[in-house]
Amino acid sequence: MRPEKGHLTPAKITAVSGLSEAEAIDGAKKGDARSFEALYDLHKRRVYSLCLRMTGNVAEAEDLTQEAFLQLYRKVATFRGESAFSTWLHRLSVNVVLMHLRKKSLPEVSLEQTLDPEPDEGPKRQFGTADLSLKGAIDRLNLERAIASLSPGYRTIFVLHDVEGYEHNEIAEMMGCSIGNSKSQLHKARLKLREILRLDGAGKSPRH
Amino acid sequence: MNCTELQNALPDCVDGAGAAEAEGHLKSCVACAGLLADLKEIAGQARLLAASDEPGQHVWARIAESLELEGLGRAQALTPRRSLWWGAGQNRWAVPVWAGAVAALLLLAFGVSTLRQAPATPSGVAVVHPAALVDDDDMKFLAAVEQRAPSKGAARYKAHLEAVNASIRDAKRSVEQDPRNELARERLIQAYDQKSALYEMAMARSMQ
Repeated sequence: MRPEKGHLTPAKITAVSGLSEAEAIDGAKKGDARSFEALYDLHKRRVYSLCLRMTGNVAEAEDLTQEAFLQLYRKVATFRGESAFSTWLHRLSVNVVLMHLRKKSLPEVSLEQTLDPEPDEGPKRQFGTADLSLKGAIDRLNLERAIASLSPGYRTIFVLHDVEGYEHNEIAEMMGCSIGNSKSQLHKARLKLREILRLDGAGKSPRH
Repeated sequence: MNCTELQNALPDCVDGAGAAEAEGHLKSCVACAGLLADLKEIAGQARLLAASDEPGQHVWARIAESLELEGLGRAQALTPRRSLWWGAGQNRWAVPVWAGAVAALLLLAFGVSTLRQAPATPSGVAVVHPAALVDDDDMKFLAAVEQRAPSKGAARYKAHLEAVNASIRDAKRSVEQDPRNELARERLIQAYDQKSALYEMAMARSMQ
């Protein structure tokens, strides 16, 4: 998984709460409220952004963020430092979201089926044309909107791989699918995004 | 390699593998080259998506409330009991035992003086100042604190009192709606405990 981005560094946390991340983790293990709050301040953006992108819904993302930090509180004593704390918390958060998505899907449908909303479609012939290139035409808001409009299965795979940096073997383990399935779903997700972004007008202007 | 074969190899090509094999076809096929460029642009932009979304403050309030109900027992065993909601450190509010007794006597004195002096309201309860969410007893207590120790932050205690009184009001409503709700009763007890601790702290600080 790639290093985290867009969050408070340990140096900033020291300035805000007087605690380094390591001190906050030790304190949280002992039940210190201030330490736990420091950990929340440090990691809330990344956890919330993950939940929001994977669900596409603010209310769900808030509920899942709350649940992720409650899980952190219950399990922080088990953190042994074998991986970075951020990695451990991120994995925990992903599992919280996946559990939620599984509960939402129909019980008689397998996870692999929910991942692939278009199982009957074989590889389509896709085309790219120079005058409709997306290069330089995608901004953050367009992309975020496009991701939010993906079906849950495609959105999950895309967020985990392309946004959060998990490898296919990690995704396969988390989602209980095969590596081949993870790769196939990611490819379909990217193709879907391309379709959405082109329709959105991101690529309508002629490029030279 | 033809277009169909290239399309089958696209997932690997986007992630950098198999590019050499596809290179020959890509040089001669504008459509496939454009498609690959689009997919790489999408994957590339996804990597830049920062964890920029921040959860609302109410998310932390909900987490703190849940943690108090869930973890307060554990926190009490290790540190002096203080509300997560106040976010204070372990020893910041060390209060002499006698200050608690003084605070209780003051509360009693205010209660007696209120009964003797203040005209009874139609409902027979202390007047609540709607804008401030503090009642007459609270105001008299704050006035005493301010008198003992001007510029010791009576305004800050007032703000905390407003907040804890709001918690008491909300918890009371929940209990009234469902008297058998254990969680609501527990919340009410904790809210009153918080108020008592706030009185103790204000008294102790004003006597320093």
